[in-house]
Amino acid sequence: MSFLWNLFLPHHTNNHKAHLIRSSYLFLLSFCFVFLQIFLNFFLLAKPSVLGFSSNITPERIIELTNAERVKLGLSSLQENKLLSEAARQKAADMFAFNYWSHISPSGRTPWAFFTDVGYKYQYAGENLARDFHDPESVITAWMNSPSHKENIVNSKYQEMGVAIVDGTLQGAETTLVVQLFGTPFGASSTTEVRKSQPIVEEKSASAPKEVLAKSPQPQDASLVSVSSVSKAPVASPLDLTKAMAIFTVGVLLGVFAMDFFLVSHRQTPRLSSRSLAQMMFLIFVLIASLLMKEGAIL
Amino acid sequence: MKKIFEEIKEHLSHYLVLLFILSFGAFAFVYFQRFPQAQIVSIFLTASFYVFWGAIHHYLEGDLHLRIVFEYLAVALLGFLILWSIINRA
Repeated sequence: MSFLWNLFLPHHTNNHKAHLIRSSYLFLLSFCFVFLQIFLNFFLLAKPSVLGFSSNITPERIIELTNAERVKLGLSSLQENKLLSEAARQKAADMFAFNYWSHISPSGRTPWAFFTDVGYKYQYAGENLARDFHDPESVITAWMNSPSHKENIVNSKYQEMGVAIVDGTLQGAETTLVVQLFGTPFGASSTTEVRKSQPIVEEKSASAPKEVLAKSPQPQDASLVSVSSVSKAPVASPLDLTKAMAIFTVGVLLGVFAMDFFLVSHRQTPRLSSRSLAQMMFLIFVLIASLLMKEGAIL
Repeated sequence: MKKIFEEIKEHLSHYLVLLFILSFGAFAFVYFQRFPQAQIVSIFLTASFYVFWGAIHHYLEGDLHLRIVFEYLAVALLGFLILWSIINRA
């Protein structure tokens, strides 16, 4: 009991300063935090089904949510196109292979090259990218909150789309990439009429719709591989766990500093120490930043 | 709360400077939400300025001691490591 007392509260037995907020204990806490992160990384590799970096995002769900957004605005649903899905899968594979997070590859390859590679002759085309999201709703919300991405999702010129969701290591971090391609086949008339089909997913491209100048590659439907879907549903995400650990650690420290501040002020204990109020202000900054940190990125 | 107000009132200008440092750090953190490296730089700078603030504050108060600097350094390091971990996971 006295151990806990000395750990959390200022008292004459601990020289009027809780052990937990002494620099030695704080450095130890930092070491423990780093150690836990390293342990988490090893656990992530050993048990990906428990601590997955990916989530229950599936192309079908992305398509459904995208079309739901279009239907809300009275636009037609987009039909899933296997060629576009294959182009999206190839784009994701290219991003992992050449380790880039951009619409254009380091070698200058544009998104439109993937359309033509799979034999999709387009009149209009667009691309939306997302990474590190844990659920499809968050992906769609992030895109809809971005004017340029939203413009793609609710673009009446598009008639079809393809989605690929691929896991891999990008720029040193395990990542789930979501690639959504929009297109209108060459020769098709763009229309804004509402079709009463089931909700279909559609994504917004980061760049403006592009006029098709495509040559005529051969359709290759039969050889296409369908988009990969992430079927595993990890119990917890490393981000959520890290945030929980951070909030718990900062919360406990805030409490101990607050108790220190009030007890020492009340007792008017003379001592050589840092300002507890300043330490609390810095910890509140850390707490707010931790809470504001959002998952995922879009492009 | 009265104790807090008394403490702030006693060192008002110092705490205003600290508030500015932390507010600016929080703003930079949010502003660079999609740029992890910039976020890491912003929290590193915020933590560094925080330690400097502590050292200067105690120097002006006439009670600067290495042990006190270590206390600020320890909290700043812990805060930096926590946010760095979260940024890397996001």
